[in-house]
Parts: sequence; C-alpha cells; structure tokens
Amino acid sequence: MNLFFENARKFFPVLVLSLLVAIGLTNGILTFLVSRSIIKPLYALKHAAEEIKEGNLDHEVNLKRKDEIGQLGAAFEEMRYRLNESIRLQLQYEENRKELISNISHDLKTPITGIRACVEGIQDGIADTELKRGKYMIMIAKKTEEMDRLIDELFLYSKLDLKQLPFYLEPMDLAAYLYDCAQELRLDLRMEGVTITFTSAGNRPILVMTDRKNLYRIIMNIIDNCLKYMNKINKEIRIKLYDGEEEATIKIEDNGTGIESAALPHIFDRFYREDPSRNTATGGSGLGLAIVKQIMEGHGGKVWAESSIGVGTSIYFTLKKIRVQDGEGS
Amino acid sequence: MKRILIIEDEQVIAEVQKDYLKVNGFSVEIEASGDMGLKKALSREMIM
Repeated sequence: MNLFFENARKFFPVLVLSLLVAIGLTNGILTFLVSRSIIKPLYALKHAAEEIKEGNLDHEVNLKRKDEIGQLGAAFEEMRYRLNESIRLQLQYEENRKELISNISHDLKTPITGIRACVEGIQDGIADTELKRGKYMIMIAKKTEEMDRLIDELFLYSKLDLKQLPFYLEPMDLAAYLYDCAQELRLDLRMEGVTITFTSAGNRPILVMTDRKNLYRIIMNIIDNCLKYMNKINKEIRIKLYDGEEEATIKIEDNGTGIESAALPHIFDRFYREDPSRNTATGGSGLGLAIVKQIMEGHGGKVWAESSIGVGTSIYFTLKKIRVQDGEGS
Repeated sequence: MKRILIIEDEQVIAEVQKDYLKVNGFSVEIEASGDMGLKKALSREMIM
C-alpha cells in the first residue's frame, strides 16, 4: 500500500503532464480538422464570389456536403445560376431590340426609296408622257399607302406591347359570330376565287368572353396571312370551331404553301418573314401575327400554328368560355 | 438595241430604272427573283 502511494507520488507530475499533453493534442487535432472543414469551403465560396465579381458567371460551386455549409453552397450556386440566366435573358432582349430597330428601319426605308425614285424620275423628265406620269403617281400612292399601314400597325403593336390598349371583354356567341364572319368574308373582293367554309362542332351557341373589335382584327390578320401564301388553283380557307370544357378553340386552315417546321415557332415574332430578303411583294407589315399574339395574350388565350409544306397551314387560338350559369347570371 | 436585265424584287424601283435606261436607248427586261433572272440571263444575250 505504502509502495503504491510512493509510486503515485513519484509519477504524479508525469501523469498530469502526459494528461495535459493528450488533451492539448486532441484539442489541436480537432480544431485543425474542424477549422479545415469550415475554412476550406469558405475559401471555395470566397473564390467563387470573386469570380462573380469579375463577371465570370460560369464558375460552378460544388461543396459536396449535406450540412449547413453544403446548404450555403447550394444557395450560392442557385444564386449564380439565376444571375447567369437573367443576364443571358437581358442580352437576348437587347439583341431582339437591335434586330427590331434594324427591321423597322429596313421596312420603312424600302417604300421611301421607291417614292424617291419615282419623284426623281419625274423631276428628270423620264416620265415624259401623261400615261407614264400617271403610272408614277400610282406607284407613289401605293408606296405611301404601304408605309402608312406599316406605321399604323407599328403604332397598334407598340400600344398593345405597352398594354395601353384596353380590352372590352363581353359575352358573345362565338358560333354565330364566326358564321356571320364567314358570310361577310365571302362578299369580300379580296376573297375572289377562295372557298370559305365554316364548321362548328355541335352546331349550338358557344358563349365566350371576348373583345369584339379585337377578335375581328385577329381573324382578319390570320386570313390576310393565309391569302398571302396561297399557291393552288382551288384556294380554300376553312374556319372550324371546337367546343371544349373551359375554352373554345378556333382553327383557321388554309391550303397554301405551308411553313417549314424550323420557321414555325417564329411566325408570331414581330417582323418575322420566312424569306430572308424580306420581300414586301406579298404586302403586309410583318406585324400581323405578332399583333394576333399580343391580342390573344391580352385575352388570356393561347395561339399556335401547325403546318406542312405544300399542304397548308393551320392557325389555332383559344377563347375562355363562360359557364352556362355565369352566362345566365350576367 | 442593247439589252439589259434588271433583277430587283422592289417593283417600283425596277420600273423607274427601266424607264431611265429606256430613255438612254437600251432595251430592258425585269425579273423579280434571282433564280428566274439567272435563267433569263443565260438564255438570251444581255450586255448587263
């Protein structure tokens, strides 16, 4: 017993010392490990933040951890991704705007060039007979009209784009309206040689909410577009009305040239023409279908197109239906 | 008479150019598209 105490007394300082060393070492190793696991990802984040500061938004952060630091990394990564997307979108808008200005300039320049050529021709005495002068006047009038219409449509489009044009939505029987529309179109001089048919599924009234004036504009713009690309002897435009649960779908189908599938998604873009030379011989401002899309968006409806080359094009749009009890209530 | 072919898709401009050239003693033909223009240019002798 005595020997034990003696030994204990002898080794006590060594024991205390080794205990302290052990605690110190564990502490040190733990601190090192923990700080490394915190500091390393923090450095990675700092590096990523610096990359973003320099404008490089493609530098990915992947901390490969599931704890809070991992969550921070994921949030950071999400932020980088969103930022990247929004900048990409902004550049796209910028690009579209530049293209738009270039298109407007081109399309306004063309008729002006024509008018100037005519005026110079008259001034230089090229139009030496009364007949020729008459011809020049007709050409000037045509170009002036073309420009006037383009500016009108541009103005309408920009008003729609700025949402400055109010829609007066009112309940209406679409089936009866389209029937009248088809009747009226058959009397239109431009429709000479074109067969216009209207079919409605179920032959019953279909009540929708719509702005009468703008619906007319939509139909006319689509039909104008159909007329431009007619290339067959038996020209046909078929208007079909489909009744749905929530909405009614209108299909306007022609048997014209058709549109290539690569071009199809762009036909509702302003100033889009399939022909890259932007020939205006077919008339039109290049805004017709863009206006259709704008009006449909104002109505909360959809518009899309289907087409096959050589067979024809179908343009569809939807209008929200009024439920029967709502219709009776109003 | 020397023949000139104008290939121009803008009808008004083509017509005016034609009148200018006619006054100066050329025979002028107009084509609106490149394909048709090329065909015509190859089929007949044109100075321009």
